Amino acid sequence: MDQLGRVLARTQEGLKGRDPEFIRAMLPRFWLAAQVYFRAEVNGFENVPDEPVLFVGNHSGGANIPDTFVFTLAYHTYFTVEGRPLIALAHEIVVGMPVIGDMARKFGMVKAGRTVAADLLQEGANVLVYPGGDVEALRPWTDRNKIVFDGRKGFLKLAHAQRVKIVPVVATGGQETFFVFNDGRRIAKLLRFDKLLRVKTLPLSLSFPWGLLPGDLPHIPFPAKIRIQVLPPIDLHERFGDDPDWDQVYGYVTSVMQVALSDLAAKTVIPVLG
Amino acid sequence: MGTVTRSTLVHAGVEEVVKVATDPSVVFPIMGAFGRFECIDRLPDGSQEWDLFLDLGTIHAGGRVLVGAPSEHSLVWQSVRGIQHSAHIEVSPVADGATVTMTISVQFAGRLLAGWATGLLADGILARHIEAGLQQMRHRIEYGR
Repeated sequence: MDQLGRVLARTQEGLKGRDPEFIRAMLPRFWLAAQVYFRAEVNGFENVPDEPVLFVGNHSGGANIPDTFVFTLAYHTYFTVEGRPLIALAHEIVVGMPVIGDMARKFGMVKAGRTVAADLLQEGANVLVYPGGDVEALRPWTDRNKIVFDGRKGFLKLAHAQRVKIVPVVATGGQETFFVFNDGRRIAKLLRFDKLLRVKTLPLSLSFPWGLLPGDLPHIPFPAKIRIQVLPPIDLHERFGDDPDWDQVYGYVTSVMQVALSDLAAKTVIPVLG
Repeated sequence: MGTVTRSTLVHAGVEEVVKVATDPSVVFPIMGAFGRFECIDRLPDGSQEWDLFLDLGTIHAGGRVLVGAPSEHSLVWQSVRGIQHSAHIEVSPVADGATVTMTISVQFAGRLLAGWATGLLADGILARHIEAGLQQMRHRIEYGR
């Protein structure tokens, strides 16, 4: 009863909303579920320096983001719940949902925003960002092993301005938990979803129990094997100086991530099964 | 028989790309997707024998291959033992660099359903390994290590 109350309680934003005791209580059962259901493998946390960093990941799984779930759990088992806090930047739809949004905030999710992220880094937190957002999370099945950041460079400017290193994180399997047929950016624009809901893509997807659906709703994910690799940090100041060419920086970071993602994808023998 | 082709655009001069993509002693170590590779012999006509295997976790898929003598824009090899296959890497100039295209054709044992299933699995595995190898090559040429 006490735990139910804790789950349902309204939660504050940011570091204040993060609840280490809640994470500690939930970690064993969630981790067991992740291990059994997704056969999760997470490697490379030894690459993370002991200073605030900006984790930059490829986003998968539509409305469910299973690899974010796995990464967050793995992070807290490696660094412990008392270690440097991890705050993930999420779409406003996720953190705005009743119950799930509150649970997400307890786990350290906040509504994405550059000022919020800068404040969190200055407070000493590690911040997790998915530059590709909904466009990447709803990319077609044929592009499931591609980095799709849609030309967004805000995360680079944030890391550079805050003088924090970028730690790329690549993951496979998340986009195999449902099936996306096409790139739905054109239809989202036609329906003005980009303006009304800040949703930039509306593809046709197949998921359980919904079947065929325009876009995606929270669904029961296919039990795809999830592999995550944390890469060595990139110091933008050291590599590109104080006044970088942002196109060049973007090209380099996405190239590093694409190589690692393709390499990770090559470990897959049978999609979904792993 | 299954054939898989993948391409990638490399933002670099054609000559620079050719130097990497058509020299087996340079390209095989870069394409980490080939988990196991070793030069066995260099023949008088310029061709070379290599042991070349994909590391698929529990099994190694590949065998000994005969790599053709160097040509201007391509690298070709043919299996001489192990999994029967042939492969071709081709460099083509484009406006903003060069396209590297890699094709592997493999012959499978098995007929009907077994043959179809084997082919389907192998095509996917090959496609992901080729893609990984091409990305590694592209990154090495564009950014160095």
